[in-house]
Amino acid sequence: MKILIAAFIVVVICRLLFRFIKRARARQAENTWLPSELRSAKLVFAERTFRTWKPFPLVARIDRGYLLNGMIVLTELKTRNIAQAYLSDIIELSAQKLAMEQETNFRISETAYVLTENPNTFRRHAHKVHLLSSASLIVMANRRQGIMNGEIEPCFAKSKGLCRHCVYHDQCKPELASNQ
Amino acid sequence: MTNRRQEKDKFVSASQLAQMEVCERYVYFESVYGKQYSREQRDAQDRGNHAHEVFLQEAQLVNSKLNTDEDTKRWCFIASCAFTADAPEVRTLRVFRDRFLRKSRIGRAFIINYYRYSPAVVRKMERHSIAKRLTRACLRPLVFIASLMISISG
Repeated sequence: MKILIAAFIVVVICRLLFRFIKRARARQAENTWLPSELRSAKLVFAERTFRTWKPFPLVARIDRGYLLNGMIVLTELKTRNIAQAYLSDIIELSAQKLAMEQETNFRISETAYVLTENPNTFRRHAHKVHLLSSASLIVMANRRQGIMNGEIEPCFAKSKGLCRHCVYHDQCKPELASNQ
Repeated sequence: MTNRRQEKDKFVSASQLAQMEVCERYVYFESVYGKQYSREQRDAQDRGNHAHEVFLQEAQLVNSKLNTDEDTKRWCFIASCAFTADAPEVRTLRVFRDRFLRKSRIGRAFIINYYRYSPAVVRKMERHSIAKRLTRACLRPLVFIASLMISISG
C-alpha cells in the first residue's frame, strides 16, 4: 500500500513538473516572435467568435486577443511565404474589432498585429498595423452586397498571379482585364 | 434548420469582407456558383487550419483559463462529433448527464474533466473517419445502458 501511495505521489509530481516545463517552454517560444509591447500583456481570447447585427450582420473569429492597459489588442495568424501584412489582413482585423466591440463592452485597440508564419521554416514575424474605421467597413459591406445583387460591376484582381490558380478562372476570363 | 441557415447566410464574415480587397470578381463568382476550391487553395487551407490548431494549443499552454469558442460550446460532446449534434444517441447521453452525472460529486468531476479534454479528442476525431466509426461503436453499448437507466428511473 505504501509503495502504491509513493508511486502515486511520484506520478503526480512528475506530471506537475512536466506541465511546468511545457508551459515555460511555450512562454519562451512565444517571446521569440511576440512584439515587446505585448510581452507584458495578458492573453485573454483565442479562437473566439463574435457576432453583431449592427451596423451590418457581421461574424468574426479572432485568433488571439491580448489585454493591455485595459484594451484588447488583436492578433491574426497568416501562413505565407512572404513575411508581409496585406490590406486584406487589415480589413479582416478591422472587421474583428467591429464585431468584438459590438458584442462586448471591451475597448479594442486601433492597432493590431498580423503574425506571418512561413509554412516551410515555421518562422514567425509580427507586423503592427493600423485598423480601418467602421465607416470604411460599412462602405465595403454595402459594395459587397451590391456586387452580389448584380448591381455593381466587380473589379478584377489587382495581382494577375492570383488568377493563375483561381477556381473561377474559366468563368471570369481574367485576360479581358487589360481591355477594361 | 432552414431559419438558422437563412440567418447564417445574412452574416458576412470578416474573411469574406477581406476577400473584397483580394478580388471582387471572386466574391461575385462565389455567390453565383457556390464555394469551390482549387487544389492549391485546399492545400493552403489545410496548412492554415493546422497552423491555427497549433497556435491555439500554444495559447492554451500560456494561459489555461483562456476565453475560447470551446467554452461556449458546452454541447459539443465527443458523441456530437461521432453521431450528429442532435442525434437521438446524443440526446440520450445529455439526459443521462443531467439526470445522473450532475447529481454526484464524482459525476460532476467527470463532466468537468470531460469538457476540458474532449475538444482535443474531437479535433483529432474530425481528421480520422476510422476514429469516428470506432468511437460510435464504443458509444453504442453505453448509450443502450444510459437509455435503460433513464427508462427505469422514469
